[in-house]
Amino acid sequence: MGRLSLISKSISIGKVTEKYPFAPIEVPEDFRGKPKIDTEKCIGCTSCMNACPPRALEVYDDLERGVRVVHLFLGRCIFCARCQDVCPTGAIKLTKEFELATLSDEDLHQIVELQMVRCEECGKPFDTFRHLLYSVKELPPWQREMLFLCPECRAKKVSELLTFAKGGGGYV
Amino acid sequence: MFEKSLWVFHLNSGSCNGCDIEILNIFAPKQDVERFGIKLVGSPRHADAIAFTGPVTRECLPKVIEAFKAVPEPKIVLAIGSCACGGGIWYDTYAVIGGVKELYKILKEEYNIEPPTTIFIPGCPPKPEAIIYGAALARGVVEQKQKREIYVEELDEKTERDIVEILFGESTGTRHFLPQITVKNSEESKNEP
Repeated sequence: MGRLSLISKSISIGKVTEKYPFAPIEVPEDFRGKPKIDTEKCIGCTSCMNACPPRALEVYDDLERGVRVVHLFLGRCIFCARCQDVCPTGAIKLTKEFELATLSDEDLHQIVELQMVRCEECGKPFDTFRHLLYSVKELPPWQREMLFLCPECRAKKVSELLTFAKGGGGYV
Repeated sequence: MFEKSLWVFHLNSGSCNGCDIEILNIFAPKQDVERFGIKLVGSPRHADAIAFTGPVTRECLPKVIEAFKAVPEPKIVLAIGSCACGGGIWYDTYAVIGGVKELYKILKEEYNIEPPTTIFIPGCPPKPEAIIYGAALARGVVEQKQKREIYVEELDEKTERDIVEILFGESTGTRHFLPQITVKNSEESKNEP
């Protein structure tokens, strides 16, 4: 009688197999899928690179062309969503996309290239326009004149000012 | 590529068992892939495809190479998980070769074996449906969705000038309320005795 009861149970439950590749499926609400960079919001601040455990997100400067490259390689991503937590502008978000299989690993890259500002003194690119626009609100007004100087030139200028500053003041 | 049933040999090269459990899941009743003729086999000599997981640790590299040589041509490699695709979180450690790409380099240099057709299935671990999608891609049932994306920000001279003006124009609207400290001009201070 045990087998017969099993048959009746399987009939009452019915089919459980999904029709997946021929019919779409729903994913859970908090599913962590493919991370996607919003190219309009990204400022190239490198905070996502510092948070990424497997270095799937790399940010590097191409000094010859004067661009900062934000490079996302999905083949190494572990979908931990730390980049989403840490992004100051909300540019990187994890979508619900999971169909990422490819025939070549070249298709697993997302590259964002942002224009950089050149230093007024030495002409070396040092920061992106978008990052300067974002961080200018945090700067005190007396540092605005050195906004377009690279860190090295800025240090030189500050030391010059400190050497020639006389009487009162104290700090620059 | 393969029109008939795909027999899969499961090759674990030092994986954490996350991807292996997802591979076993797709043979369970909910995502039953035996309806497509996909079947796990015990020996690499019977297999058409390799379900490859793990970042290829140094210890199991010779065994992995032997298993690769044992699978008859033509073959397909399903690189399942981030570790197999690009090394994952262990991509630069000393004990790990770092994914199938590095393994193919070794096979080409040492044994003169051409790299087989590979399907990369990223995920940590990939959803069972993602693995089914990869297998369906190998069969040519579905089309590839993922594409390489490149965005280049373009700035004209005019917009650059606008941005510079905005940067200097915002100097008054800061939340800092400290008084501005004036510094004597360096030339003047030079002239002073």
